[in-house]
Amino acid sequence: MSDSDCILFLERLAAGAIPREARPAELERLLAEAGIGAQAGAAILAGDAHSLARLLGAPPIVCCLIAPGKKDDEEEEEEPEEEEEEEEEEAEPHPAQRPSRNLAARRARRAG
Amino acid sequence: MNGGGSLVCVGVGMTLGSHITPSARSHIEKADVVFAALSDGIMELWLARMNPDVRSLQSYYREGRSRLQTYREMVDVMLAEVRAGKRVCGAFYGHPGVFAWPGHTAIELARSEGYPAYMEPGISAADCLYADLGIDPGKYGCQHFETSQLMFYRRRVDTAAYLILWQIGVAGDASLALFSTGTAHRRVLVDVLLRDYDAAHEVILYKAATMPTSRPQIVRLPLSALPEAECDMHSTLVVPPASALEPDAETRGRLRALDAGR
Repeated sequence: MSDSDCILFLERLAAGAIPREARPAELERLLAEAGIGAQAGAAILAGDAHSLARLLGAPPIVCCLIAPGKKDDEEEEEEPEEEEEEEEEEAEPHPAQRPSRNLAARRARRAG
Repeated sequence: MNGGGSLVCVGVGMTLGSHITPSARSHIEKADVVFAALSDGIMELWLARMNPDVRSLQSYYREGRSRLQTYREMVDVMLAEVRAGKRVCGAFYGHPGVFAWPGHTAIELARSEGYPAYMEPGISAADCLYADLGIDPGKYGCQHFETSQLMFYRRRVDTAAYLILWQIGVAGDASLALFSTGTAHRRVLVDVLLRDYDAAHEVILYKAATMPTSRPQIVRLPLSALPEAECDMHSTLVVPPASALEPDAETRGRLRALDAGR
């Protein structure tokens, strides 16, 4: 059994080439036909991603968070409030603080 | 002037094989280098089958260091290859631009330097939870907040709409350096939510399925039980509406007057 076999099996399952609603016995037969070992097959049947990842030697996922909860470069609370606000604006202005392009264009036309 | 480099950020969806679009797959397969920010090790193995040069962005995370630093390094490493003239693909789990800072930032920076850069949407955790929980965001409206942002800033919560809080596993982490916060932080979150909701109001902790044979994790609990509940970096909190839609008599009156004047 290789990780390719397992991943190919999961891909075929995801794509509907193997019916997802197939009974466990039928899935077990298909897993065996695909050359997938008993442990990996059991993990696939159980939808146990952790066990399957371990069996396949998948790289560890340290973290999957990709959104900060606060503005870029925001100062901590010790900073005086006013300075903190200035810092925030410089780092990443809220869209409401940016002059709109339409407004800038209207101003330019008026000036012209 | 760019030297042929380009950047496209794609989403591979939440569930292996089920959600990736043909376009996203094509970008991954044709890229000179693929940078991967995924939520699951099996997904990384899957991605490695599509392109011989898949580089995981996992090595940039380190607990104890601000994630903003990590995100900036992710952007830097992608842009370095774009500047070197390569076709670069950033492959993110879910949607590459939904509660995902590096994708938007990398594209903005690449464009500012004259490189072609764009984003291909993917199926996000929100899309999965709409399907799995039977929620139509158009029915009552739906607010989405990053959990800590809701705690750090005064926001107006509309209790007649759904409220969806992302990254509840790190609720209230001002350092951005933790991979999880605990009961005490979630207690503060509950206090914030108690400004608008009853303690007994039912909320839902949700995790999307990552394999086609997995089931989504759906745990319903009263708001008051949230601090002790099991949460991790994959958890999303759904707060269903707690009040009825309130008619706006004044605006309705104005609209009636418009209709009458036709």
